[in-house]
Amino acid sequence: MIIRAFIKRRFTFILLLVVPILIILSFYYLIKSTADDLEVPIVFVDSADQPFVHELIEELGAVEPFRIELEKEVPWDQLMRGEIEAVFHFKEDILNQIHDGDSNELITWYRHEQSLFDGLIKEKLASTMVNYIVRAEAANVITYYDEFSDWEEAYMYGLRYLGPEPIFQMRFQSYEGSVAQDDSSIIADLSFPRLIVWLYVIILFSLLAQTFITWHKEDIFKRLKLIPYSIFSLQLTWLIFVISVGTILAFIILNAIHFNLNDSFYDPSLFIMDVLAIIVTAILVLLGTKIFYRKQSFIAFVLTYTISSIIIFLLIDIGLLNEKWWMYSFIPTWLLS
Amino acid sequence: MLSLENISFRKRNELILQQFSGTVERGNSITIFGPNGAGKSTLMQIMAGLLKPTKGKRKTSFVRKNPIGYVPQQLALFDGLTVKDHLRFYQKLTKQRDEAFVQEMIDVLNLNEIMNKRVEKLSGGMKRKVNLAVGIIHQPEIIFLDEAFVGVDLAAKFDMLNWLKQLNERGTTIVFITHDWHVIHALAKEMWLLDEGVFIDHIQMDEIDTFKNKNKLSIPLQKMFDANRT
Repeated sequence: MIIRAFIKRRFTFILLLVVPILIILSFYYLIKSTADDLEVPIVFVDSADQPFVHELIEELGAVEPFRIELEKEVPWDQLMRGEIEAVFHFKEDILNQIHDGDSNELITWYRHEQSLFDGLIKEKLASTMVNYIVRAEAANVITYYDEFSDWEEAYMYGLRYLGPEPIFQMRFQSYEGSVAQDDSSIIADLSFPRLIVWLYVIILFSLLAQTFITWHKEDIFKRLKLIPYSIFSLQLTWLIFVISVGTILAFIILNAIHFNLNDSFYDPSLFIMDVLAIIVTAILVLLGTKIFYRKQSFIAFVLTYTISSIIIFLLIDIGLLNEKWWMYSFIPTWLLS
Repeated sequence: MLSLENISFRKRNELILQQFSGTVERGNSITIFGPNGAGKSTLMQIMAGLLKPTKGKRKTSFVRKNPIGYVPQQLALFDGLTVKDHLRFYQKLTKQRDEAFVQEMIDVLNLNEIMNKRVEKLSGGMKRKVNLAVGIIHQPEIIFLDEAFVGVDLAAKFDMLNWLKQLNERGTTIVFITHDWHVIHALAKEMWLLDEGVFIDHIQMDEIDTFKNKNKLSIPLQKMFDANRT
């Protein structure tokens, strides 16, 4: 009955039901769009539109996460804005130069100073090009020593005669199947959603706690003060109610996000810390109503604490601040690793 | 039942109540009378135990576990709940199991028809009746009413006075603040006069018309007395 008095406002219902759905949907689309948009744009420029370059692109095949586009001019503006990871500009008459054994500077590689991954496609492109160059070199050597041999035939089977031998080889092992991740990376992945959930929880609790401020203002507490343990009983009911609601909603939201991200449910051992944060937040908000009787003062207290907590959390998370003991007075820091 | 000895109360360096002494006997009905700012509500809150006096002693001898009923000037009600919810809630909170008493109160106060209405939908008079009902649902030994009749229409006033008089006749002590002479005549047996935090006099209600010290009162208090005749 008294819980009905806590949630009498329509806005509380919206906050209770709609916001968790919005958080889940936001993270779902955020994760989805991040995964979908994981493409590194690379431009091959061939002003002469040579069939060889088309053949080369076909030979390269799909190289994830690169998206290769073929252009006739170097897109300088896009490159300077960093919208393109790198540009590989092919010389005109490239095939004849390869056949002539002139393999220097066949391609000019343009890159933005902040490009990171273009080295990978450069390696792939170079190794594909090496095949052509080696075959041409082999055909040239064979026809030089044997004037009756056919250059085209020697080119076709060139790799048999002159296979490129690596100077040194690195031992390499690839593991298939599920990728092992350590726990800290999972925490790092979910630290931001956990912060958002805490933010939601403190807003929800503050809204529900305003009932106490109203009751104080309307002398309800004065009347209750004369009934032994009645205020304590009301506050205990409030605490149990908000902690239960907060825990259930946090459990649903975090599991939905975690499942979306990792195809598995949220680790219960991590959730213990979230529950602890929810409990302490509820107690803190309740204490706030006992100290700040005016609505404005209470809101100022909650806002100051929340904003400070978020700033401290983010500064630690991005490594601008080293963790110190006093920072643990800001509850969201408990949700970091 | 309740006695105050040399009670003083100070708030932010302002002396609100000075050296007040008085005794409330069981079954009495006392009105605290005085102009605005006389310290009436402060005195009542000290008597009820809601405020701690800066100086002096408050002594009580109650029998029951929940001996005090308090009806504040403000409508101390939960907006989202119905009248029935309110009564059940306070019944549960005060562990009141005497259903016959609760039903009698509902009948005398004429609350039957509004039991399922939410309090924010009620008229001012109805809200006052609910405010009174939840304040005394646990059959207290002493009831404190702080301007509980403000904004009440005649019908609601009749119901409230009727119920309070019945309770007083059964032995319940009543202490109330009001500016309404009709309520004073109907309910009070004794009047405590208070002005600017100082106790002036106490008058038995049957002596009110022959009160001799009227000329010694402050002008506002004299005017309040004159209002009795008009």
